[in-house]
Amino acid sequence: MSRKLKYISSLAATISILLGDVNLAMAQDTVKFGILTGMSGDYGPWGQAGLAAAQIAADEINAAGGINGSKLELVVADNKSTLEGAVSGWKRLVEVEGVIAVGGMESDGALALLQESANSKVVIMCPACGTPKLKTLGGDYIFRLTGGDDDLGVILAQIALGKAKDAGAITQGGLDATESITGVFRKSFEKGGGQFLNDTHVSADTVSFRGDLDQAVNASPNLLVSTGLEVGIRLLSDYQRRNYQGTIYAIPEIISQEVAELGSGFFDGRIFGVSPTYDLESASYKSFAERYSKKTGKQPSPAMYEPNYYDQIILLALAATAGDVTGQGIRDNLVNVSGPDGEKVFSYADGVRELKAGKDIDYEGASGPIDFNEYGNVVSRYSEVTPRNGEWVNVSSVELDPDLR
Amino acid sequence: MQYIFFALITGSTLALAAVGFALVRQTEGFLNIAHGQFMLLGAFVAHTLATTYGLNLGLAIAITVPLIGLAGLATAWLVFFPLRDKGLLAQFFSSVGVAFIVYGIVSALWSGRAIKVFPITSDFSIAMPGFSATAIELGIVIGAWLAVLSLHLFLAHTRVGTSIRAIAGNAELARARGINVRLAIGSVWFVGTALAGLSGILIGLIGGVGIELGWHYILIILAVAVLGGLRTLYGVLIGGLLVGAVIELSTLVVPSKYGVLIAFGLIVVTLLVKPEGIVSVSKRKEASA
Repeated sequence: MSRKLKYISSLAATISILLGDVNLAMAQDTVKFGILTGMSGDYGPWGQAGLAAAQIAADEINAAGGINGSKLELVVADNKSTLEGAVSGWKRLVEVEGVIAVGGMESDGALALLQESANSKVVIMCPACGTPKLKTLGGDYIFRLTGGDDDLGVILAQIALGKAKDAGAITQGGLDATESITGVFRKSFEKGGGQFLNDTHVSADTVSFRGDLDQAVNASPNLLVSTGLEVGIRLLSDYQRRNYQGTIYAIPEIISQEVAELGSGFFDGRIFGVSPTYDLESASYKSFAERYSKKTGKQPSPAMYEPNYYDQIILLALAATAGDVTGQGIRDNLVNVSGPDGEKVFSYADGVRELKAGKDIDYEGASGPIDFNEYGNVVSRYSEVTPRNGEWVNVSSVELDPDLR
Repeated sequence: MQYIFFALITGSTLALAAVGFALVRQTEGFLNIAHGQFMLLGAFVAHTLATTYGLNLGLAIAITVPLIGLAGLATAWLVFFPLRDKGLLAQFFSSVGVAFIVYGIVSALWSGRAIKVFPITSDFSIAMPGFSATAIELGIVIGAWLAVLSLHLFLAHTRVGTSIRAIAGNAELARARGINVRLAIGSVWFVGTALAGLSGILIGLIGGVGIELGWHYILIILAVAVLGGLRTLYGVLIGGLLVGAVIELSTLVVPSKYGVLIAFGLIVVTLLVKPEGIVSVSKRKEASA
């Protein structure tokens, strides 16, 4: 090899090493978490509220020095509240953006990406996935911050039994969440001595629900509305316009601001739902609520799961801090940082300090104590809610009756 | 009885939506897929005027309908008129493009909330055993048919209306006879799109306005227009009522999710028997009688 060729080869090698270092440094400067959620469509209200909460968490993490010195960046993808959107959004976030964890997922998307998350070693965090399937399928790369729909169905049946001895349901077909809650509701309602008289299945692309609703109300005016938000609002608008008299039991998908404002008071004390309840007096919740209010101009709503969206990001960041800043590192440490053993911490900065001191930690967040079991599930506390003057308000806390399971 | 009234509500809104679509088809010759998105735009604009700006609902509708008509006319002037020489397929595919553009604009301007509900409260209703009708439902049926009657009077008794019918029958002959084609076709776009806006509002009044309304309805409108016979507006009205009846009455037998399926099945069968649509069938019967 001539001296000139040797010189060029050495130069190329040096540049290559330097460029590699630069790339590595750039990669290490930023840690990316994805937020894959419905910013539009049925889950739009939750997605928008949740994104604000997630950004508060990211700001808190970056203010505390980031994740092992790297800035946290949230990359947002709108799945349009559809399964197709979840899959295409996942591909963009994971394959193009290179995120190491994805938060904000809903049930159908999480289930569809169950195997994919393990294959790509990217953690999925569900702030509000209720599907009963995750009761045993989660825990590898999928974790959720809420109890399952099976518990929700039981509690809704419990509430319904306290109001009337007959009920029916209108169920949106083709959705895991709606069909599973109706199934559990029916079983528990009948187990508690109630008469379940009718289950009318509807589809989102149906032109008119007038006939369905009329038939359902004729069977029983007390209805479980187990649908997505858009279908639910159309049904409830018809229910109000035709002045049907009964009680509505609403699944979490229906408990939105739009429904609280619907009907100018017609539904106040007429719709009842179940929502996760938080310890409003805890320091974590108060601190979060104050920042949320400052950022959005609104208080967190009992039904919008904002504390869960916030906690998912803090937990992911703590898990990354505790081990490797990779999807696998997060997965390996997520259960440890969530507790129940270890020093209790209530913020990201507290958690990092204790971790650096070599201690185990137990993060207790704005949504309450978060202790993942082996399947990545937590135990949620619930309360009964109803609309009042355009807002959802808590009626009372509800303890699940195990006899109705 | 109750279900027949439900069928009348659905059929009236479908007929109104389809008649504007068919009007453009008759004079321009292509299927304007953007029609559904102008329904969506009308519903969102009226909702915004009625809620954000607090206008009386009637006033909001009165402002919105001509606005949507003007939007349709502007779109035709910008997109469809320059494409006339390129053929019907170019206009048809451009209408798909326009549909996506209008949908994108509406999504960008009104994103976030899942569905919008018009703030209507009325205690008035007619109720008797086995039947009830609320004020808004009656208003929708009456409003839809008043609009159809107005269209009939416009086409039958005004100079522009006569020109439109002449162009729909034979555009070349109409030109040769000195008809102001530009004015007539401009009127078609204005009226056809305004009717789309009005039908979108009426649908929104009873069911709320979701962002997918336009895509969802355009196929049904197409089916109604084909069933009724694309060459006759009155056939389209009958087609709307028939499809509405099938959608609503079928819920007595099968779940509503199969209603549209049954309606489309009926359309396929009808077209297999008489490709020109049901009105042609009636005319032949009349002729042979």
